[in-house]
Amino acid sequence: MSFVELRCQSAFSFGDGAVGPERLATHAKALGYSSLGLTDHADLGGIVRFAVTCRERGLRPVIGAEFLVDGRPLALLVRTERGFQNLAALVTRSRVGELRRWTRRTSTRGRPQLRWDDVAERSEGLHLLTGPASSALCQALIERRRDTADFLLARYRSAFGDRVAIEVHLHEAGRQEEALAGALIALSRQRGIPWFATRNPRYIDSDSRIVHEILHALRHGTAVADATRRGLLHPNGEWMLLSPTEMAERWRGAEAGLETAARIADDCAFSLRWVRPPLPRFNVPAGHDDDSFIRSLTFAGARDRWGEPDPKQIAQLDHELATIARLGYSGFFLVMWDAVRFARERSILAQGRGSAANSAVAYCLGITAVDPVRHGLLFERFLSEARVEGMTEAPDIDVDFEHDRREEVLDYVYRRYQRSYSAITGVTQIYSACTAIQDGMRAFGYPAELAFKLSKRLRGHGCRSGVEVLTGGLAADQGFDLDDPRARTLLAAMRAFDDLPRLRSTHPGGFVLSSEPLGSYLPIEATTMGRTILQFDKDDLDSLGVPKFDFLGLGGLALIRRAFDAIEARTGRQLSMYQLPDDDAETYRMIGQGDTIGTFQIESRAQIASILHTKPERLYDIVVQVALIRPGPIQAKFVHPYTKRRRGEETVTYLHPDLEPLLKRTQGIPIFQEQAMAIAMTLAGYSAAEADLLRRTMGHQRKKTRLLQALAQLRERLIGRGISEDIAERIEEDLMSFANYGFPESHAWSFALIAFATAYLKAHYPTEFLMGLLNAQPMGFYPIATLIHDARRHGVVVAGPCLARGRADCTVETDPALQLRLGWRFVRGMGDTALAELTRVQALAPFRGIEDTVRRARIGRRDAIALARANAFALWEPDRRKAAWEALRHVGDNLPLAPAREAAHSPRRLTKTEGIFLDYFATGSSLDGHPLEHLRKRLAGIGAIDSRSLASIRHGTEVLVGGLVVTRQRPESANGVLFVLLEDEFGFLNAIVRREVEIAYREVARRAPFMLILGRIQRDGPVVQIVAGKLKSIRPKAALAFRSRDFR
Amino acid sequence: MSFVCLSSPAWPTDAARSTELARRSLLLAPRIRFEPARGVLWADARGLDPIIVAAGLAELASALGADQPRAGVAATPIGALVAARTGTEPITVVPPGSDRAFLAPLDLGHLDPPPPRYLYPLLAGIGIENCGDLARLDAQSVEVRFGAEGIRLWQLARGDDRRPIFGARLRDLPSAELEWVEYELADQEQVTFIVNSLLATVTDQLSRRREGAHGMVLEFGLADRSRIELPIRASHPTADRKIWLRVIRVALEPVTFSAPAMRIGLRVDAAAPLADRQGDLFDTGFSTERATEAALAHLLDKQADAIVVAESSLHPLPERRTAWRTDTIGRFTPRILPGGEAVDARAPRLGVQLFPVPRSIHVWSVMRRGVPVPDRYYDGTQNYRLSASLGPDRISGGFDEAEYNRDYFQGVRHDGVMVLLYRDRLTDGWFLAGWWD
Repeated sequence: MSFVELRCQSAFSFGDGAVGPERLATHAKALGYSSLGLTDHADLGGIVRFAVTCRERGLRPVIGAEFLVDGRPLALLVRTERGFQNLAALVTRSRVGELRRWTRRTSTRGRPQLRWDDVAERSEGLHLLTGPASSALCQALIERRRDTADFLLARYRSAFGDRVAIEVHLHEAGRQEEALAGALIALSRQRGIPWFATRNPRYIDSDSRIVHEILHALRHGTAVADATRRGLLHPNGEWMLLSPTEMAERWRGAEAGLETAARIADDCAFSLRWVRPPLPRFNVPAGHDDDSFIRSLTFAGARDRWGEPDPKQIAQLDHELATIARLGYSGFFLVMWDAVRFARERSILAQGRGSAANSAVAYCLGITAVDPVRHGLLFERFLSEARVEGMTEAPDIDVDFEHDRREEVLDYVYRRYQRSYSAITGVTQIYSACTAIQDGMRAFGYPAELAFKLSKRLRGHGCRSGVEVLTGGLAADQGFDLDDPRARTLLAAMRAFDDLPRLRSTHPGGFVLSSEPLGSYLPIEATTMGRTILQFDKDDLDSLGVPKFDFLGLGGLALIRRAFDAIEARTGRQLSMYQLPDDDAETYRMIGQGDTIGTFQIESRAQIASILHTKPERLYDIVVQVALIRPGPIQAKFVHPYTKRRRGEETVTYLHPDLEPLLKRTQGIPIFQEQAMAIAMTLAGYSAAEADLLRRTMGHQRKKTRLLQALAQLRERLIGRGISEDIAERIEEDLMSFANYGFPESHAWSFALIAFATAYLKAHYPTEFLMGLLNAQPMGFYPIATLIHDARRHGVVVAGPCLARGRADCTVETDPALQLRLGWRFVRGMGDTALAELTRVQALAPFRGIEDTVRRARIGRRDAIALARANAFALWEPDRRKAAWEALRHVGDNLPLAPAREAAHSPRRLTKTEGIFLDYFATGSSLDGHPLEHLRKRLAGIGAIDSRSLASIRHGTEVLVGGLVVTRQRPESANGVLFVLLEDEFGFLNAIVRREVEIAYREVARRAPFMLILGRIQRDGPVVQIVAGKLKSIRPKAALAFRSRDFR
Repeated sequence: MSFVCLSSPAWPTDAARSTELARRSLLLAPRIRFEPARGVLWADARGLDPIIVAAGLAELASALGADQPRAGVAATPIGALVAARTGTEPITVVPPGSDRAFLAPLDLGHLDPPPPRYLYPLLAGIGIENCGDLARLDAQSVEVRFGAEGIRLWQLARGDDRRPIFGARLRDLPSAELEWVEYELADQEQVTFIVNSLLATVTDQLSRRREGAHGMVLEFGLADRSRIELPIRASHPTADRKIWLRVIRVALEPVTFSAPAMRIGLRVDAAAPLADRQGDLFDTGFSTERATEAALAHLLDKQADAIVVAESSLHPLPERRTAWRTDTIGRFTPRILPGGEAVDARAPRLGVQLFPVPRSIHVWSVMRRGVPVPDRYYDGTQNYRLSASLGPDRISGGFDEAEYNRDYFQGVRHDGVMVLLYRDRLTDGWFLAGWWD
């Protein structure tokens, strides 16, 4: 007996499905299915991964969705390409309504709904299934309204013809369900409409059933126990996918329902090609098509970039333009060109990154800033005609914009291409241990504090490894009893949460555009921010070969723009990012000293440690530097050989003489993806397209198997071309580094330009640099307190927020001397509304006093106290507590005709330490000192040294140091080593905490704000680190409002 | 000193020991109030030696399993409470009149109820570090800056705590008040004139309720923001305005105001039915409907959370569909029925009767679509043949507490009785859950 379950629901029914589509398909295959249907609630987000897994497992996917039509559910299945477009359009319609009339303000989120007219209008190519017990048809039967049932069936048939089937559920859920099933089958016989059997499964085993109960309870905003009492949960576990054999057993004597299901599945079809929307067409001037217009723009741009292009440049442009035209991507380039043009018109800094910088066309169109012809960058790394499974890889142009002005660009794109033809890529958030335990504990009624405590300690873990951490001691440490049934169930649920989609969010900037209404290919839904996003994420689009336009926000560009503006305002000098002197000695001297805190990309502790050795002297050194400290080169152990060769301590050698021209600029070591491609082309005779296929296997651990196969193939080709087996193997080993994340050279070039610009600003205009950096927050590696302390150590004068002189953002003041004034927005607790009102009112007239400020800006108590705490009234009342007293009087005294009398208030004066701690609370930093100062005496008493003394201590000496933890970093490439950066009142201390030490002092290593370390000095040239042996938390006088920045 | 507060981080939570604690506490003090959720037990020690009461309560609490009970003795509830919570000795005594000084060095977080979260940063922002700092401020400054919550906190910080610990006034008793801002009232005759007018309102209300007042409280709000409360008692419950005016005049005579009055309020704080006398509720011929009603109201007033109501749910397990929960005083909620179920009034309906504990039975079953279905059963006394068995209705769940997985069947016995049976799929045992009648 063949049977197809047509009505599976996956986790993409968010809250009403508890298994990922991939796992669902895999499990179905194991149960013996040859075909399987997926009908999530108005969501097609799971279909790509479902269809891909089905293809891999030899299963035939049946794609559909369940909708609420006039408030009652029914399901639709796809039969044809037109049917898929109708289904996608219906999902879009149910989620966002009519996109042509859509605005951010009119957008609503909530249960997706459709009217019958919408469905009837788009019935072509679809099969209608009448829906579960809550459907209109079933309700009519339950309420004994036969005429309504007949009317509904007639209506369905009028729109869908004979493509209608009555669905019959049986879950052993009681008499009513049995009676309903009987009535549906009788109705089917009477009206000559086929019926089919289904269980409408939501899960595949008992663990995933628990997950379903958790999700379902949370969806109703309650706990599992309460949901059980309220009858919100299924009464039993029968909504589970059963094998065809079990279904045959259950439906013995009524096999027609099983046969119908199989017949419907046979009638349905689906192809991933149907999901791919047509590329956007650019509105070109008369007499042009996309290809000719891009050609004219490119050559016009080429003349701007190069003057009259030489034959080599022309040949490259011709080659690229021909490829672009053949692949149909001219419109794609023009869209990008248009966005960048818009940004330039608005004086928004924009720069292409990623492999797009390998394209001379992108360079000439002004999208990217790196000249690929001059630097010998390989176009095929960006766009190749190589096909995998019949599809070319979509080009990937990422353009960075100043992050605080990116919205302007996004709004422009929406305006230019209309909502119906454009949407932002979705991001499918997957459950982690952290979120799984939070949701699980909430659903099982655990105290929120315990859930939060455990969740914080599971950050960075997957669900399964999180369970191991919990059972391995964390639960016992935190007083979480694992022995009761509730905890055991929670652990089982956590395991089942593994890899499960949790929610859908918005991609940072990946737009998809089309020349046809996009929602008919890729369903669109609305976000709470009023954006329209796709139900598919980046990986899905990659699988489909749908190109996306990445408009990304980059804090580094915002920093540069703000600093440039401030420099021009103060000095009149107009700087331009691409006209900075890239041989500036002062900048390289500063970089060489590792003095790069706050700069773009070369500021991390690992970068600084490397820079101290490599001492960059030219822009290309920064290009290499940006790419060198990445997981790929680090795990391949390329960093030390490169550093030694760069310093001249090791001779540069090549495995083969032909490698010299390819690897000479990186000291004989393959660092960039383009170099791997060039090696394959030069030594193994790969074509550019073949080399690109090799490149596509690089860059992620999950592709490792494919990379190993590709490299084995490369080795064979190398040997085949007469290269010795030994050399071929060593080349293969070197290229293994690309299994992990590594940069394309073009991308490194793009970042290096920004890195150099920020370093130049830091070296020559430190005040403006700090202003730009702070105003561009959040960005970078360090907390703002560290940035401010570092700037002050370099002579920058910093003043606190002030309502008399400052602004919402940080400003550069020149009277009486050059100094940076912190902006009001750095005052903790200030609301956006209050900031906007302060800005608006100040623009009318400067503030004249506390009362004037409070009254005119109509500041509330919370904001008044926040400003007073940050000493923003200091010009009028230096004692911030007295200022608060006054400010609160004016806030509360809203009866101007009967003012409250002035009353004296003499609070105790704050001590210096209290002031510093309050500063950290109020603004995240202090200008009066460092929080460690008050501990110095205590530290000195126990023999702890400060950061100044480290320079003079010999390698291997045991030292005791203490400091405020600024960052913790545990890169995957470091074999579990935790790098801790401590800060004291004089500078920084780098500590290395090995795995065993971290385990022994887990709570201190991961959470202590102040840390005492007993360890040994490790000296490697100018780099001094402390290898921790013992850790201890230092208890300050009061809790410090400061959180270290922790990275993985 | 009248308030004794006993505090412990861990009180006995089981019903038996809690009841015992309450019962034996009442041997030490006439009125007690036990608040395990807040970790305190109050005793009214007016007219008693509070040290003896406190020591006795501490000993009793220890004996019943309370962890490290500490007692506080003070003239105000806040003093006693804070003394109990912060004291390091078994008994901390706050001498009369020194509550404010006692509280002064303490953090505001010790006050009960503590400041609302939003007030903490405001208070810290102006440098208020302890109760003393707050108490030093004047009322107007506090009110302007922190509003009504600030004033409440300010009063507590000054040891000014008038909350009724023992028996809150639950019934809505008559009251009247008058407030003015345009003029100041200093003359006693004018005051009496207004009081008389308020009294007319209150006694009218009492008469309509056919009640008499045992006692009233006269409140004066003065221009300096201070407040005077004057409790007045009558010899018997009455609603006679003249009697009350006479009593009030006498009570007002010795009173002098520190500032002119801006507000006068009069409220009844104890009332009783005028005509009826309460006897034994079950003594027929003596009690009247009204007296019974009054007695019940009185009981409600006194008994706190003693009312339970049945709450029906849609829990899949029949035995868990009804639960009893305590109801709060005076709020009678209608029985909650499973929602949305339309009942056809014309259809005959049988009610299912559940056994308190399902009975284990032996079942002979037949297989139907892979599921064993009961055919006959033996309940230990007799064999029953089932002429029909409908089911299974599968019920499973409870993973987070006690897992269940059962197949229920509705069986019709050969004698016509409908029975509810189930197979426990976890143990493979059969049980008789109930029958319909």
